[in-house]
Amino acid sequence: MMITIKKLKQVFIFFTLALLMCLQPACASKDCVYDDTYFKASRYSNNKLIEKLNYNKAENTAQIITRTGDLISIKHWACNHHGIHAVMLVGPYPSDDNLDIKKHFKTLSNIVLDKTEADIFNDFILKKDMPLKQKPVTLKIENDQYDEFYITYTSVNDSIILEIKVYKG
Amino acid sequence: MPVINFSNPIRDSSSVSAYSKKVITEILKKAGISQTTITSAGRTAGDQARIMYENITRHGVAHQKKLYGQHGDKVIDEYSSLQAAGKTQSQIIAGMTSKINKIGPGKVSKHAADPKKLNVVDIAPSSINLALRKKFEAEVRKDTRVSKFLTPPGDPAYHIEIPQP
Repeated sequence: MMITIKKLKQVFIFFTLALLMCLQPACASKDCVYDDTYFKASRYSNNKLIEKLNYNKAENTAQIITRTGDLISIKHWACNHHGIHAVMLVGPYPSDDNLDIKKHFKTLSNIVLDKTEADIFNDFILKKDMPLKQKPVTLKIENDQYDEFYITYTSVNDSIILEIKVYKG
Repeated sequence: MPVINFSNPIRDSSSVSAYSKKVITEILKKAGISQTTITSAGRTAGDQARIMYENITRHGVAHQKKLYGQHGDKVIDEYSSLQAAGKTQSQIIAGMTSKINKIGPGKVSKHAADPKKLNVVDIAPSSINLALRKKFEAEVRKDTRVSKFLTPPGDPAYHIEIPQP
């Protein structure tokens, strides 16, 4: 019961933050360099890793509950820049289940990144040592195709928070 | 004195004028920020054509057409027709450059502009301490030398446009 209340509390905080993240309206597409039709609900709705999808086309955002009960908030940019920012809340789980950061990042990348970005990302994390720490760890993925491509992760009580941000202009 | 770093100094450091560096440095100083990182700066229509050419050859026409809006699609179509006509790489890039200039460089990339008239820079939000971001945004908005300013979450970066004197 304690875990359920804790989880509900986290869901509330997570989705409130996700909402605040996305208050600005999306650009009018006629003035945009990039095309936001690329960001479609079908991109997520056919993914077997996803249990629930809350998709907002007007804001180019999505909130997801995965099959394992983890939460993902996504902001997609397709106007002056093209890119994605995804935050994943994993857990709460017993601490041993949280240790495999790479496994959780792979789940996140399989849901939010396109093939090109996922290939770069998976190559990167394969070579990295990624111990879980209380303090946020940020790792930059060097690639001249992107203005920024980085990941951040940290542990909070019995949960971990993962973040991927990638964009180009 | 605040320090301006570049993610890609070879590509971008010469695209930012001494005037623009002064404007940004003064804003950083007022906001109490010791350093920041520019992730992208201005580029010419020719640079934009070369970047688009490389991306098309790397990812394919269909992939790039999914990404770009109507103006970028016209430049990609120009690539396709020149490629089909058997033109060389430099001829294709020249044709794409001409197309970008015809459409208007700013419609194909917000970074494509004449650097003598307008400097366009993106600053990584991650390079500014979270506690100082609001102060930074306020100082940019107050500065009349900045003509356009886009911020997260509407945009992934701090996008700043500075007309040149």
